[in-house]
Amino acid sequence: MSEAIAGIGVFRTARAGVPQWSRRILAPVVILCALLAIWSIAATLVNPSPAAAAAGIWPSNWWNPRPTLPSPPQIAVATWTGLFGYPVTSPRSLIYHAAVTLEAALAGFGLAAVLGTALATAIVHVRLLDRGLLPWVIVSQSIPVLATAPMVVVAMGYMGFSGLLPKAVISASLAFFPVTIGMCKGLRSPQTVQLDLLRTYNASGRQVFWALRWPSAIPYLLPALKIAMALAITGAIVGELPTGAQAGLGARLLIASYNGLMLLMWATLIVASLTAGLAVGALALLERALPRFRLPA
Amino acid sequence: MPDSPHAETLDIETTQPREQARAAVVSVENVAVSYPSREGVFHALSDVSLRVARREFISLIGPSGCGKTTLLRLIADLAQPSTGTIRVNGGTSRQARGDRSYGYVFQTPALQPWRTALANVMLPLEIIGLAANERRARATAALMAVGLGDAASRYPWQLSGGMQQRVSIARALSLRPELLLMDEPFGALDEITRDKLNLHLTDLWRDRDLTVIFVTHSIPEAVFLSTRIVAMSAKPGRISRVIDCGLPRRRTLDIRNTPEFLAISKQVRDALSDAYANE
Repeated sequence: MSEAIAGIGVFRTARAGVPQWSRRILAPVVILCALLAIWSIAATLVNPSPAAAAAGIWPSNWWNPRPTLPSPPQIAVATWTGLFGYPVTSPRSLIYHAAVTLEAALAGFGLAAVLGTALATAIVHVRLLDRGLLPWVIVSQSIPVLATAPMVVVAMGYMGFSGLLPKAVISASLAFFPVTIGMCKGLRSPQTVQLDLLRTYNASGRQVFWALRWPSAIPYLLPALKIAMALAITGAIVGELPTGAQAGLGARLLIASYNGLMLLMWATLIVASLTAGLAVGALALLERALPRFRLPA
Repeated sequence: MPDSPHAETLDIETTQPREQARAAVVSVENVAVSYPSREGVFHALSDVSLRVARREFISLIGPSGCGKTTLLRLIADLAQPSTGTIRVNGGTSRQARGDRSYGYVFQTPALQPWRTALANVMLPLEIIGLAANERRARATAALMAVGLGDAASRYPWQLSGGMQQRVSIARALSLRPELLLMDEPFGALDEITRDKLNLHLTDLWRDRDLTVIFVTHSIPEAVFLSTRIVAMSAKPGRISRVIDCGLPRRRTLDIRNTPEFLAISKQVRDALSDAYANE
């Protein structure tokens, strides 16, 4: 009797544990599986492949060497080969290309973090800039980067810069925006009473900034940096498209699209999102390490 | 043997006006604050004069909108009067703020959530550029003075409301001011915590020879703490009556049951009901 009750207790505890777990992991996995199933069916329908069928590979349509819509396992294999099938110094290695892109993205991200913070500081402290500069910052984001990227490359090439720097600038032109907006909000987040308190100490503007505004802005800065990192990687890839670059994920995408190599295209895209995921994840870890600065729930 | 506050007040009142101005820690003369509003000019304060001598404990009490917080902010140089003059320690309020000659305690503790209790108390000491070891020593002493020596390394969210407000008092004391300006510091606390902190505050005031100007809504709190109670009324904000509170400087909570205490409370209540009647 008591065992049965204890059993129910255990059962209930176990059940209570499931929903949390399923909501976090199970639900996204189910959705992913559904998407992969639809994709696989589509790949079967789109790619007729008599050659593979003759070789006895099943399902034959999934392993077409020049597929229109590559099947999920085919993409997985191509990605794996791209990442680990060649030495990292080889121009066929996707790790090599990801490293080239990441280098530019990190440079752009650094530029964006500094520029975005500096702009926000100026906007918060100078009323004229709040009215005069902020609208242009917003307008700057409505211009498609695909249009501005070639201009940046040409203009900077004229000034004698090529390679990493133009890509970093294009990357930064996207990534500074969330930093500026986040920091504007963050630097303005201290309550009046906090500012009054520092006034009673006769604190200088610089002291108010470092003792109050800056630490108050950190909880706003960290999420902004995560968005900026994702944009920096997008920016670096776009920056590689018009430069005629030989290396980088953007260059790889361009070659793939010119030559109709759909498989390479998908593999490169997956590596691009993995790169972005890792970089953003690293920032999330940094955010966790600073729990004092998280916004109150 | 401490003088009775009553004798002290009399002493000030019998001296010549010129000397009075010098002796006063705070002197407010014919001060008015008004600003335009939708219904015409709003008079936050009108023709307010007040003189506060050293070691006095003044409570400002009155209905909302009577300008008690405004008056405190004028003295602290957090706001400016439309007309009239304010002198603090013989100079302007601006100079007094520049000299960090007062400590201000706000209605809310206003602690920085990313700093521990000790680091919060050290904040003003960092601003004035004190050396790190001196900062730590003085902040620790200030925390001990409010009975929070054990809580130095705790963050604000780990402290109760009463403890947070004590940290903010310690922060105000860390600059070692002779003048303490307090804006309803215990308004948000429960009765028992409030009693405890009142007792603590009256001890600090007496032991450190502080001059305190204290805004409150509570009559018992005002009577328990003060040497003088300034009753104010609203529309326009002004001083309606000043009540001397001749209780001994050394006070315990029992004093609240004495006939003197009750008599003064009644005077304050009468003054306030007049003020509320005028609304």
